[in-house]
Amino acid sequence: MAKKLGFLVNIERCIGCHACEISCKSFYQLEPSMRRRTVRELPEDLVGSPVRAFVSTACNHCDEPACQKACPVGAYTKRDEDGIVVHNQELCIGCQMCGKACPYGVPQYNPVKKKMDKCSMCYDRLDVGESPICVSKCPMEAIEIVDYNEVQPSGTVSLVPTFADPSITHPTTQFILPKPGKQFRRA
Amino acid sequence: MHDLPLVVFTILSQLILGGFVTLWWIDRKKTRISRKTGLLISISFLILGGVSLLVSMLHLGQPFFAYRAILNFGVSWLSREVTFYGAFVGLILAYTWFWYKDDRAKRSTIGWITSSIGVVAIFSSAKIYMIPAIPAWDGVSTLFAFFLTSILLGPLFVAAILAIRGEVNINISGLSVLTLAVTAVVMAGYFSSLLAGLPEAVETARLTFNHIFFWIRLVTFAAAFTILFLSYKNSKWQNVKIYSVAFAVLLISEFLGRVLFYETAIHL
Amino acid sequence: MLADNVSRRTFLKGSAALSTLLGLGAIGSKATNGLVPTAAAKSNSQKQQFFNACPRNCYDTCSIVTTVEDGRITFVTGNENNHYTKGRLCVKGNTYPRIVYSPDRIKYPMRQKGRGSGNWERISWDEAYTIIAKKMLDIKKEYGNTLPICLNKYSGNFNILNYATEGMLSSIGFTTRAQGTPCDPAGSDAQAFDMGTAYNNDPEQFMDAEYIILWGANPAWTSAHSMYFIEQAKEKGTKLVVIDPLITQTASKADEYIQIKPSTDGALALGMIRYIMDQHLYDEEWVNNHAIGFHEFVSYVKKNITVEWAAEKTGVPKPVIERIAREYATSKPANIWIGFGMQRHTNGGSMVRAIDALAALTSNIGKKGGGVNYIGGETWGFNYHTMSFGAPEGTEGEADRYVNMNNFGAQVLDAQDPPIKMMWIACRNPIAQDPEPNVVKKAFDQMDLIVTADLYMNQTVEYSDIVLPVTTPFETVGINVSYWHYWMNANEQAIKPLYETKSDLEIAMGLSKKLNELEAGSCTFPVSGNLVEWVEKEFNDDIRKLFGVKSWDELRKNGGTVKASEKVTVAWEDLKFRTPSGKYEFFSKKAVEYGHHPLPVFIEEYKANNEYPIRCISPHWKLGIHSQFQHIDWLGAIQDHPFVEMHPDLAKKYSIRENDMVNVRNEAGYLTLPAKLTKTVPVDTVVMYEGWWKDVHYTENFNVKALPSDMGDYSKGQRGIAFHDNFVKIEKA
Repeated sequence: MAKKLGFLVNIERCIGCHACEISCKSFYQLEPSMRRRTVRELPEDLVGSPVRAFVSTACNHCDEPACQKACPVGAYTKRDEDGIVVHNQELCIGCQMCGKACPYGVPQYNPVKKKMDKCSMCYDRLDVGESPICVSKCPMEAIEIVDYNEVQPSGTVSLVPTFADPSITHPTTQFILPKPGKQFRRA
Repeated sequence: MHDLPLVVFTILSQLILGGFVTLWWIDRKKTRISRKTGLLISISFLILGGVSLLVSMLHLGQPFFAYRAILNFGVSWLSREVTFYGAFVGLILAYTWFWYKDDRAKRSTIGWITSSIGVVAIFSSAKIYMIPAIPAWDGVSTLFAFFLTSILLGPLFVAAILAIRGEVNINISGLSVLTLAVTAVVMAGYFSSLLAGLPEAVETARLTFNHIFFWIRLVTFAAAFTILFLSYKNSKWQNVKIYSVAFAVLLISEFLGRVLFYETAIHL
Repeated sequence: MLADNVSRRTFLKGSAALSTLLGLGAIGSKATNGLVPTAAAKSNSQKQQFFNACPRNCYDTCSIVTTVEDGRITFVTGNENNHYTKGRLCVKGNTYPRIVYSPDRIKYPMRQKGRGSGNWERISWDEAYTIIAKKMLDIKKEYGNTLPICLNKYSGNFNILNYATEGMLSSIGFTTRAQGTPCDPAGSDAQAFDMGTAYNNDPEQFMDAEYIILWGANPAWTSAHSMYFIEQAKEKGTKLVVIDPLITQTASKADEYIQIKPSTDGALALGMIRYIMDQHLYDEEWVNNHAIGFHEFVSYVKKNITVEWAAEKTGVPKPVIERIAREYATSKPANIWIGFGMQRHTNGGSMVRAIDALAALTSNIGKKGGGVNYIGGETWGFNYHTMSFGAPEGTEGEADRYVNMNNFGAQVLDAQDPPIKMMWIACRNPIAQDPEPNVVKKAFDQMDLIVTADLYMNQTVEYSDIVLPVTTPFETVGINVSYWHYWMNANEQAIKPLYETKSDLEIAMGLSKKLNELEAGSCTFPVSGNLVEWVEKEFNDDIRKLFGVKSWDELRKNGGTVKASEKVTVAWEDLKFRTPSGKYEFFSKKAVEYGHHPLPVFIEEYKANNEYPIRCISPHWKLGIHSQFQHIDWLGAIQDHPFVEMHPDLAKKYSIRENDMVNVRNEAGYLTLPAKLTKTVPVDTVVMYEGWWKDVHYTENFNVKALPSDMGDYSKGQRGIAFHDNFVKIEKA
């Protein structure tokens, strides 16, 4: 059976440090302005009492990728074997429609190459048995790749604040929400 | 502004469609357009079409590979837009040829095909923007807006040139007034739906109302309506100056409206 | 010189966990036809890997693997051989390629016509050395000694070879030195009084703790690799308690967070101690056999401390104090980590003593997984060969003169007979980092010559006469250890130095050469030498024994990193304390010698006055360490300007909304920056994070006063700074 690979982002573990984002930027030598993975601040009342919470997202390798439908040159492919949505930069003409169409604004314009760019889930690393850079470089091991056709982890959610309605493109990313701790705050 | 090429492209393409259909319609119904004038108008569409295509390429990171944009015709509305719009401009060339040849029958047939393809092109163009990722665009109002721009600008453009050439004095004001009224209704509906919509849509509305262009657009819109309404009531007002002024004022209004369309779009 | 070792290295394999997850053999399908593999596209070049060491003033001091393709660094990541670094770097470490290739790097020696004018001209190294050497010799001639030359160097790069700067100045005679540290002195003194020195358990032992109290520490931002062990411990059932005035990123992860009034942590510890004494939850055997002064301490506590008082003082409810005290005293082992921020108060040292006492009477000291962990220096026993050359023959005077690094500007201005006329600044950015930068600038104004060695055009360089461009760790050789974990990391030269950059050691040799050219025998520092030979000279038998590695070369050939012997990773396991009595000292005569109470008592906290009613805390920031990293554009893309955090209720009082500009002011100065409203800070406190931001011409230190903390002079020569006893007023700008 074909796989359905997706990110599993553990917000309980995430410390919002941006190491995932910057290790990716470093590995792929992206332009300073570009982010294949983005760490966003979540509302501080996410679990009730005020906390500093963040969520890290990249391409969601959607079941119904809007980028693929928007792209006029057919640069986007969803791989049959694992569902990874891959952008072929060779074909790209830099029209930027994919960036507009993606509910998550994932594809970004590379101002130097004048083409679009996005997370490939490091498929070439996956293909040789290595994990994506963000997965292997997160100091908290808060990002995993899961084959959602194989396992359906319990207690995950597919929507968190700042994340667009999953019914649009059916992203594969899932999240583990933080558990609230006890707090004694001064009056 | 980053999306300026798209503003110019969409306005021009819609103008050309409206103008073309008007020319073809008049030419089909009446016989009084001279070959010279017909050829002039037709060539002006060709030039505008060429300009619009060139401008649209400015929006690309790789303009020299623009031709690849037709590759994903099966899925992408942008691909379809490019394909149909390309065909539309190509067919205008053929249509122009038959003005040159003064073959009215062939003009009529080709014009019919060209108009249909043009409508499909503008329809595809609107569909590109009807995406859930940008709530302010994701509705039938985008479709309305694009075709209303066609109906507002195209006929006036043709009417103005005909008036300049002193050939056919068509009464275009009625159509324009009606279209403006419909546009006003569509706009009112659009903004109330934005305000009742997702936070991103509300933000678009807020940005729009706080933008000076919106108010200039309202004033120019009202001015065009007044001029055309007077023109509709009084045949003395159906002349070169009126049509030219109305066209110019409406072009500004539509242009600013389109700038706002891109500028105030808020992504999810 | 390093070419021989690289070709046989193979590219590190990624995590094996993934192959397990996906099922072996199921992967390995080729890229879909027509797709272009992204990473594999950069393949035809020659790929080499080197070991580097992150030398920053940081707990984590990571071991790094650097990938170099065609002489250019293409990736920098953590070394998997180091079980603390675990193959991963923090966000800052991940920016290293950009640190090296930043368009902002200083490329050549330059001279500025008019300090702060920006009127720089490129000069050659020879010209730079000549100007500097001539000035040094002129000073010696005029004053008869070299005391007018002042060195201000500290923690920007902890490569052991970087002590060459100190060594070079010692090699010309006696000079004036900025002494002390803004970092940890009060707490270090406290631990020195109690135990003889500050000595912490291996942070990997958080996994062995049953109970963890992070007391004013925010490892999620300042020690991500420790935070990993803490989170892992938490997931397997260890209770994590965070005591902090702020709901930090770490506090956000706690099982239990206790918001304490700033500077009352000692009261909380003493309240817990009172409860533990009353309930007989302490280890009588331990305090009798391994400590002195316990009975004096008991009488102090019984007479002066009640849990009610502690609750009143700290703002923590009595039942919470009692419960936490019971949980802590009955969990074995229980681990306390005292953060540096907690002791940056006028009573910081005494508060650390109280927390030490809490750990001692529950016998959590000397236990694997336990401890009262603050800082340590067990692995730092190098030769410091670069500092070993001594003053030239016939040098007048007896010793260096010290000025307090923590009140640098004022003390430089005060220094007389002789006055200070020349300043050498390395591994520091005092104008951004010191309190009262305006006073520092005044001191600068008095100088005839200011030389700064740095990577970037920061505020201090902007106010210097000569800037010397230095190398990043990747362009030089070195050896690094941590004041927290127990690993030693080799630093290989991965690439040739960019532009005309040189390491501090090469600068020391170059300057010595010039000095000796101008006046033979004026500098004892070697004028030449191979960097690898220099680094090998740092090894001695103690280091070899401690780490079980013979040489730097052996270290770099065997994974680039090595952990110290298990014997030292549990602090005070033998319970032989380095105090005068050899025992844990609840009662410290040494403390009395330095003017303190002999016991861990509560000293009243510094209080706000009416004019400046709001406490302003300036902790470390997650995208920087001191003035390093945040200015790099990769991090600027995440956050490009500083801000002040305040509680919405406080903001409301001043009609301040999110992102409104706020003027934060006190006697020392003011700054204006945007507000970020958050309930993670208390209502009577605002927070500004430390850092140097690109194109931002102020720092949080503009309104930090040089208010000393209570301790530091015993172990560090100078007291620390009460950074967090800073009070301000705010208004909407």
